Amino acid sequence: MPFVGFVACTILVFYVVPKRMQNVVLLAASYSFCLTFGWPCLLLLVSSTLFNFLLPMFYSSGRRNPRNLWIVWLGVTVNLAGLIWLRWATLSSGVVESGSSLLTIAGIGLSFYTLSAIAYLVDVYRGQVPKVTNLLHFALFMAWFPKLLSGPIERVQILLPQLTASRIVKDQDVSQHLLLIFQGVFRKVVIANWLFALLPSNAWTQPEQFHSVELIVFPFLFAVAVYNDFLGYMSIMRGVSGLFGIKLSRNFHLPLSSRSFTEFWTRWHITFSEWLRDYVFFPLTRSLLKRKLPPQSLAVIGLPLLFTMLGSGLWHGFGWNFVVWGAVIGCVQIGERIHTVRRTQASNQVGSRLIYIAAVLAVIPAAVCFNTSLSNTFDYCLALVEFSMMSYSRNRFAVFLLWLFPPLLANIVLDRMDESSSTRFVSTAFPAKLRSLAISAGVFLILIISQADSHPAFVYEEF
Amino acid sequence: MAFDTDALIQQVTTFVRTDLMERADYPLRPDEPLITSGLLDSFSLARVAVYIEEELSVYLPDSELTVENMDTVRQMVSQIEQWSDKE
Repeated sequence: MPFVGFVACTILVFYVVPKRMQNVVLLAASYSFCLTFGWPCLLLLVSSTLFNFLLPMFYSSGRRNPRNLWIVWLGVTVNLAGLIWLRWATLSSGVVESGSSLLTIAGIGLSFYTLSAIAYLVDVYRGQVPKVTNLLHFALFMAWFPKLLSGPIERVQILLPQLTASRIVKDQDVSQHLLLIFQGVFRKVVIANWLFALLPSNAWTQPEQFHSVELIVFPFLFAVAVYNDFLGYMSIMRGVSGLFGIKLSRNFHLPLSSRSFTEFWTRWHITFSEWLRDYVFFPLTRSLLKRKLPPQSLAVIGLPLLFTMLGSGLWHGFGWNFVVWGAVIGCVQIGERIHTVRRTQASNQVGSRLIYIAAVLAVIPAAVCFNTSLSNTFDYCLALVEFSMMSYSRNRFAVFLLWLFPPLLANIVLDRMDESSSTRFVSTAFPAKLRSLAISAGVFLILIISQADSHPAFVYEEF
Repeated sequence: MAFDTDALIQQVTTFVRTDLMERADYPLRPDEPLITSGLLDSFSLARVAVYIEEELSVYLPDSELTVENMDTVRQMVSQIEQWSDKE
């Protein structure tokens, strides 16, 4: 609710001040938002902004100038060092469990805006984007509050033109963005929270308390819950940003309907996947290919994928569980890639099915690793393969499935709405202003009924 | 750097057919979708980029190696021409 008030006040001031002052208002609002998490958070954001703004000023002219390579490496190292130091310090002081400390506070949003900053430094070095010479625009690019906490990880070439252009928000756009907020709130407050509530708190730590069928269902239940939690957050923030005439990138594209792990990662947390692809996977693959390694060798196929997914794991958190999480996902993708490269007509059908089954099964250890330590993950998998039916109660499981049905159905309906023109049909049946009013009322109704302030935070805020 | 577009299409088509698809006799058309049709997977774009860099001395940035930009031979050639102007 305080966030709703904050957005409303910012919109009011934004539309009252002259156009040339609008970006100043947005930056002030973004810094105020950051400040609500404490001075360390703002200090780190401002330091990172100044460092990444000033560094490209030292680049010499000419694309891919060797001198610039040293500067870009310095920039990447400093940015990554900050991220690694915070992750390491957070882990070693054990504040992950307690949930708040100076380090946790300072690090809010760091993993997201640091990746945007690295992309900027590298792209300027490659000559893909010009240096940003206006500090206000660059500061707003880094700090824009709807993307500050959990992304999307925007590129300067996508966001900056919107920050510098004159923005016009029509009534029609307002109702579309409000609808996005409504869908986001519904996904978070109704679907995600419902699914998380169905997941027993000791599911990952005491697997022996549950029968094997439940142990198979929990990881998939968690995956759908996180999907709705994160997509809900993204929809809300894309909607809020749109109210100011700034469109944020889409971060999800029906990932649950993917036919492979490889496809899944092009549809899930898209801006992060694309960042990994552009700054880790492709450079590594190109480097190996230039060393004249056979393109179909295990080294060329496997190493970049494994390294990329291990990097993805460590980005989520320092811990062996995240290393294993990355390795599991990396190995499945390597299997899929080898199958694609080396398939023959005869082995095609069987191989495809086996790879698909392996990918689906890999969700289980991956989801458990994501939530708990390695030893707990091992116990979980052990309990699962023992196929214990000791605590099995048909009635209990039937009730569980019954409770599972409504949020899953709602998830499917919302996914279809995202893709079909039904959203447009619903939203054009009434005048734009009336639609906006009705949707806003819907958002408030959900927030009030569900006592939104008492809900758990978004999962990806932790990263 | 200026290229003859038709010759470039021919050169890239030959590379895609022989090196990537390993089907030298395949009648590949310049506008035929490669990745969205399943003839290639998106990982192959790294090989296309390295080939273009080594044979034509044109560097295609990693962020341009997307299915949207490089799904057909004609799109690949268009990217080569676009980025050769920026060299």
